[in-house]
Amino acid sequence: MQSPPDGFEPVVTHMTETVGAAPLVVVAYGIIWAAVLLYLWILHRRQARLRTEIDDLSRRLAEKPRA
Amino acid sequence: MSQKTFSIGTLLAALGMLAAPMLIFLSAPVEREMGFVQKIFYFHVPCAWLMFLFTFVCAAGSLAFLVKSSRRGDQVAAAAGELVVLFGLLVLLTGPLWARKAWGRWWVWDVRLTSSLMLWMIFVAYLLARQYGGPAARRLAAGLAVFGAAEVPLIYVSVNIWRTIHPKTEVVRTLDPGMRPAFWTSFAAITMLGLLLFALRLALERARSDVEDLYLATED
Repeated sequence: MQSPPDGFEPVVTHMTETVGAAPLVVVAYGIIWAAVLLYLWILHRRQARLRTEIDDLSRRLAEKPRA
Repeated sequence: MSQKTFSIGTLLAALGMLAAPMLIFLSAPVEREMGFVQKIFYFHVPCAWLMFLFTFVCAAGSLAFLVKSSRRGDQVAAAAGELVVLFGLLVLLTGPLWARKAWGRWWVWDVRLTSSLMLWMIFVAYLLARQYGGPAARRLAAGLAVFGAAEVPLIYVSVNIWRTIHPKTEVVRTLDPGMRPAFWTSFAAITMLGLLLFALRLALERARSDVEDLYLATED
């Protein structure tokens, strides 16, 4: 069978499809937004941890006797 | 990346991310073979493109680290490697949602899907090696990244070589003219978003690297 020119394959019609398209599309977009926001939150947490480390480092350097 | 460039990029990404859904749902026609579920395509393909792009960035940084012991290369690779896993995960999650409606199954073990999963797993291994393998494992991780990048051309052309029901590579080139504004807006917006995430992650990696140096300096 020849593929359609636009590259999309036709939907197989002999099976009974029960899943609606709209919920799948909404879930797909929701996953994308949730993943990006979660990743931004993770980056923010790491940045905060780094800031704590820098503060700790500054304190150590301040306490260190000068040579 | 300067603060000004970052701000302009953020503004462009935000505008693009607002415009894209409007074009996708209000302007682009419903695809005649697959129906409404094909709308996933507008976000699925840009995520796949970013997965490939960051794979190459990670491999380039890793090569610089392996060949020249470039610290900057290692930092670039670490940032890009994480984004390969992020965008790869989005490809692997949105694809089955599309497949469930279009093919009647969440997953098929065809060459495009399987090789994409393998690429994602290689980069999960890359991150795990970096995180838990100690300093010596960074070179092993760099090797993994180069190995992963070699898989990308195979994944891309796989749909044209092997028999599969996954859409072919011509799908973007032969897209219905009515779908093009939605697709390219979405593509540009997600690419901009990816580049911004990369800039943020790279800045964090550099700062972390500097802090490690300072710790060593204080212990001397």
